[in-house]
Amino acid sequence: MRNDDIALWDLSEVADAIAAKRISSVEATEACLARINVWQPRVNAFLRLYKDKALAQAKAMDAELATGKRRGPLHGVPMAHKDMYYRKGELSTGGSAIRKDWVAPVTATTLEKLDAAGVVELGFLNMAEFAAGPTGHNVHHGHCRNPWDQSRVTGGSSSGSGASVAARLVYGALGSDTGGSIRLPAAACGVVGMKATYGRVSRAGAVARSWSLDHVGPLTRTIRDNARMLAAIAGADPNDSTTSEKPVPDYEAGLEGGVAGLKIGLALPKEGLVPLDPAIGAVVQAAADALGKLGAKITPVTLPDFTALYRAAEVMVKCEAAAMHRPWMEKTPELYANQVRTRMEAGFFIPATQYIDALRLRPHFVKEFLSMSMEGVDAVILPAIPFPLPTIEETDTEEQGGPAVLKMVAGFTGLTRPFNTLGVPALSVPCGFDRNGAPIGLQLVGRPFDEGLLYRIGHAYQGTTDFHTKVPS
Amino acid sequence: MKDILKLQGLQHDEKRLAELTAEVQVLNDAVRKAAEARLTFDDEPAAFASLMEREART
Repeated sequence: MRNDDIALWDLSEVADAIAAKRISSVEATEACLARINVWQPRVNAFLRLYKDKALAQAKAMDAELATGKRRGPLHGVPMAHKDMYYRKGELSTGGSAIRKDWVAPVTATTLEKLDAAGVVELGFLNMAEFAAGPTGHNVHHGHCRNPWDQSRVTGGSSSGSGASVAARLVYGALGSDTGGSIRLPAAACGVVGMKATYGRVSRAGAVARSWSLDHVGPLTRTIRDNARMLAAIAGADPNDSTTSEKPVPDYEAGLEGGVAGLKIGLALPKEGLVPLDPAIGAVVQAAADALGKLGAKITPVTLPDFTALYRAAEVMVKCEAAAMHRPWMEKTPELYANQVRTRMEAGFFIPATQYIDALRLRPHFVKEFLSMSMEGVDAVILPAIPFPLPTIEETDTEEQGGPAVLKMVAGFTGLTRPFNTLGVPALSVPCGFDRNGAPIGLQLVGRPFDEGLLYRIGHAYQGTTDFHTKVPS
Repeated sequence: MKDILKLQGLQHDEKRLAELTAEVQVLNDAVRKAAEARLTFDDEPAAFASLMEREART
């Protein structure tokens, strides 16, 4: 039976109810605002809330609908986004102190597309400073807190996106992913996060962390919601020359295809940069078993040794970040959190030849991954985060420091960063809870532009499990 | 490292310079080794984008 609290409905449910005029966009927006009022003090997900503007926008969407105009499948749906998507004439902090008063000169392509689709914008969300950090810490705006356990991290860098979707404050949110920053908060907060193929979604008007590795994508409560949101933001963009001209499929139309006959590779890496916690491995194995029962053929696969690929990715991030941050690094280095500044500094000393070689290596890494891990399988599944979710205190590199803390923080991206370098699509889906009651994410990885297939597998999985329906209390 | 520091217009103390030297060394060695095993004269960064398009099944 449908819950009376509209905020608890899924994006697709609420969008369809608005379209059918069973509820109004204003009602949906008010439901979100009521929940934000309760949850914001607990989780610190919002950096700026635009209550009056959102209600006015919702009213306008309802008025349009009354005249018979429906902009599309997101018409009237309230969302909020990581505070790194520019909106012309409005503040955009990038989670930083440096840009605390900075006003964007352009609007991000993804926001323009969501505007055109009729999305209501509730505000902008907490994030790691300049998208640099996998945990959700932010010394300038306050740490974002996990709705399931406020002592634990949200994952980052799209911390507010994960927390706000999980707490049912918004129906969907944009995040960005350079080393796992969509999938990590999705996994840690128990929601769905898609890092699509590099070039599938425009990066224009979004704060860059690393132009070569940045991916823009949606966080939502269900696979269907995610498919709907990706379809709205994907596609070629003249303002981002790295976007693909490939047509955007109707992802929702392919959701019901099931997994019978599909071959899915299961990767539970015992070696590598980060050891896999056996309990996390067992939960992912159980997810594989569930897919097997639905008719998929599960087969163990081996991942390449990602050490060199991981180092190459570090070279790209550090060099590109150092280049774009140079003016501030020279003039106002004290305005950065220590861990954000120190992680970029090596970029000034890496020879250009090494950086170029890191870029030249990418296609080789892709070929090695496709031939070693994806030969004969349609997709690969593995954990998103290899260990149970730690607390904010345990991973506070500003306050704690020390090699053990740094190693744990670096370990977050051990199983996500490789797929940014490879550019292939990767999706995180809730698949259970760890011994502390924090969510666990199942990562699905596919061939280039196989987002539709990943959604199909994820949708089948959500059809047989209820992890995505659990709500933090 | 000190000369590069000057060229880059940056300032660091000896301790931090030593840390950065060690960090850069690890990254450089890993990339150099990977490049030695894989790269030829004709490899170029743009090959990544065309490979992604080519490998797509849809």
